[in-house]
Amino acid sequence: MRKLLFYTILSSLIAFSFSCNKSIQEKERDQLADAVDNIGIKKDIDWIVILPGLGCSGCIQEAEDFLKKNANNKRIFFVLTKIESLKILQQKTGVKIDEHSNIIVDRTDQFIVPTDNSIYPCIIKFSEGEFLSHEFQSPDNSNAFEKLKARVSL
Amino acid sequence: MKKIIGVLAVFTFSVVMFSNTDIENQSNQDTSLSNLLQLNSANAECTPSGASSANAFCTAGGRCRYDTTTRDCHL
Amino acid sequence: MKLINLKVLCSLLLFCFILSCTSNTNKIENVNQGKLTATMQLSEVQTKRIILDTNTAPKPQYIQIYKDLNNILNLTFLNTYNNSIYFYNYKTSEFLKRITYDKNGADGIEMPLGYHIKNMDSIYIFNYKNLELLITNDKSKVSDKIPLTDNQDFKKSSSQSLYYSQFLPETSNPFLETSTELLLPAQYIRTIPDSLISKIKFLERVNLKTNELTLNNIYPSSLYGKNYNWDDETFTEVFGELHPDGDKVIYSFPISHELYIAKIGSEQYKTVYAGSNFAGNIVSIDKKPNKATRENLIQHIASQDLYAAIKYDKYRKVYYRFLRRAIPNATIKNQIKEKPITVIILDSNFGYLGETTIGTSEDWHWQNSFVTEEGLNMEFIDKKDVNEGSLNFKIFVPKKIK
Repeated sequence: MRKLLFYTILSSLIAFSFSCNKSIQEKERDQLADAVDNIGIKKDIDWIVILPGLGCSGCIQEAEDFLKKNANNKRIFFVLTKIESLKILQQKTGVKIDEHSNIIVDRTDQFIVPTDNSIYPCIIKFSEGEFLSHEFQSPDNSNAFEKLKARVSL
Repeated sequence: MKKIIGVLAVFTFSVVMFSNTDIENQSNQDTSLSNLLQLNSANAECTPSGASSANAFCTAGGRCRYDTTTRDCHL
Repeated sequence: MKLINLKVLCSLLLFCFILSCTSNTNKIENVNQGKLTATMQLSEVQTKRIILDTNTAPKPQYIQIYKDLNNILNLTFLNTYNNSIYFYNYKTSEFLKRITYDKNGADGIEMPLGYHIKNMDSIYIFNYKNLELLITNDKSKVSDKIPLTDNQDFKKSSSQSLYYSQFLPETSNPFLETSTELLLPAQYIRTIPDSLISKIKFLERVNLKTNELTLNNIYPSSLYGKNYNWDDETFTEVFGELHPDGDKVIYSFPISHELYIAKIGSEQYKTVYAGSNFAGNIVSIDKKPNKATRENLIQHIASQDLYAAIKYDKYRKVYYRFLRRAIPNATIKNQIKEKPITVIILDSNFGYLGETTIGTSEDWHWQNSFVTEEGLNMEFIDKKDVNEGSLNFKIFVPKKIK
């Protein structure tokens, strides 16, 4: 009886381990960390904001507002990806991309995460050149930019 | 023999159950404690101000389309 | 007792295992793959360049070619950034004028996605925000509203999404004007549940005199029924074209190698083969809609041949049918914009004449395609134009292969 119980539990655990895929967070982090390494980020950058041109329109608008107000903050690095029109984005935000060394255009789609979150702006926390964490401005996490605004104005 | 079948049965059942668990489709969750504490504050939703924030589906092409069953984005 | 229980348990498990593994898929075969002989191909004959102002970018939301009262052919387009319709002289590329609409208020248009100029007093503008058609004029005034939904509260009520189609106009899938009506080929946003396959109607017909709305035409159940997973507008968009006879509509479904033809107002379809010599089988997604991730969906779209617009060329009496080609060995790294675009040329009876692959969707914005006397105009993206200063078209005509 005990042996049966033991084998049952053991087999359940083995079965569970077969179905454990890499979590969404890990997949995203791997992709983003690679992309960040490729472009090389200065040690004084505290935040990286990834702004997609296509996706959750309401969330993207929050990101565009944030870009408009914080383009001159050299501790924030902006990555523009999946942009339909740089011309219109510059008109909307009043930001001339060429004049800012802390804004780049992701032309090779490196910053598009391979998960359902690719349609949301992403905020990456950096410290001393190290990738600490990331989160998305989405309908389920609708105050990401509010929190960031509070922290950068300190 | 019976015992082997029994164990195999539970094993197969577990594989089926766990592989059908929606791990892949879990929506974005920010897990830090401070964020959990702040979730209750009445912040602006992920929509332009004044909008009615109707639920919408985000298509493969990145466009938001009305769909009351999905909350990918708001219109 | 124990043995019986074990048998029951085992068969139950086997049953569960089988259920979870299989998902109903539809495989739509191309019966003429490799069997067609081409006698014609598209040849590029002209380039057209229109200089844009600082508030306008290439890839405008919607373009309409319109002949004005002075008999001048206008190229008009919708600029969603400043909510305006721009008018250019098609032949000379000279800027003529623009009509700018308010975003809010009594004359406001919040989310224009397409329009149809009948004359300067009747400019029909589709406002996606309220799924309504607004009748406006060139003085930016809104004179009438035609709801395209039965349910005023559709944003909250689940019945709108579940039972109705949504009109999503494109230059290559435009408003169709007959002598009495405006036809709006709409589409269902998600995959169609089998229980609704005979209830969802996608053709919205607006009577030009009474503004009355009538709905017709359902998705063919052999294509979209049985709960097959076609969960994206890439699969469910219905591309329409008016038959030159004036009393029929021709539908191009992205997943069918055939064209479906119906008399306007009739539910009966006549089908005719109008596929590509190179298109393979088109297969639905092999996971249930709630199990398929965004990556699954994009990869599935990238790896399938999917048809698109159907356009009649009244000058050369041919049809052009667009095909978004499969990317061979597509992985999750491939983007939809890498899909090559092919244009199939058909004669006036839909007989195969040939096909030409133009380029990828990254370089060719095929959604902005239209026919003029000069030929098939297709917007192309000039990579050297980094300042997005001009709207560019290449014009193609079918020529005999020597």
